[in-house]
Amino acid sequence: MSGVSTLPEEPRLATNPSTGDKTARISPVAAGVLAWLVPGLGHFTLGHRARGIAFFVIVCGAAVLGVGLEGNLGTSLTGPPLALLRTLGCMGAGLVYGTLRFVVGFVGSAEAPGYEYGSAFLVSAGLMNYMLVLDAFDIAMGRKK
Amino acid sequence: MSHMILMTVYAAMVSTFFSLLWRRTRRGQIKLFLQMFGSLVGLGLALAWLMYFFPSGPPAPFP
Repeated sequence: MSGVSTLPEEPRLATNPSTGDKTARISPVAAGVLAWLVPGLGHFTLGHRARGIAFFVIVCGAAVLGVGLEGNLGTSLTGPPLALLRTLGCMGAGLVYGTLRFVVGFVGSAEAPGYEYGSAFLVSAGLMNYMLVLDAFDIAMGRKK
Repeated sequence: MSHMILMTVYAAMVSTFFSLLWRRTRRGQIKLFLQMFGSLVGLGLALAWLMYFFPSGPPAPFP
């Protein structure tokens, strides 16, 4: 008797009982939270490694361009409605937004020549990451492959 | 950076993002990228030329 354990190897994927599709062993909420915190991390964790890295590069690249152009990061939560929407949009970038706002202290400069474009890049980074959150959630739920 | 370059970079970024998000095959991704990129840049140029007839101020002097 060798005493070697013959426990079956835990499958990396679980079967969604409603669709029969294979899903990663991570809850959809966790996938969404990871996706929000770090762009592309949700997809990376779910096995879509190349796409996760690509999404990370795209979203962070947009944020970097926005910072370089000194766009408006969006810090107002009590101001006009459009300013609030901008802030909520920028906050979609998760830790990228948090780092820029609370660690670096970046807010942008209205006098900068690239201010409008920079603002567009920054809010687009956040909005794109919101879509990544939803996509990661759907993949973890088994609705998408 | 000029407006044209920034517009092109933004169009490329958005087109790449959505082609990766909504398509799973390489062929589908390339096709969607070209469609979105062409639409964004083309529409931007079309709108820019449309605005040519509605200037906000006097025309810039020749350099």
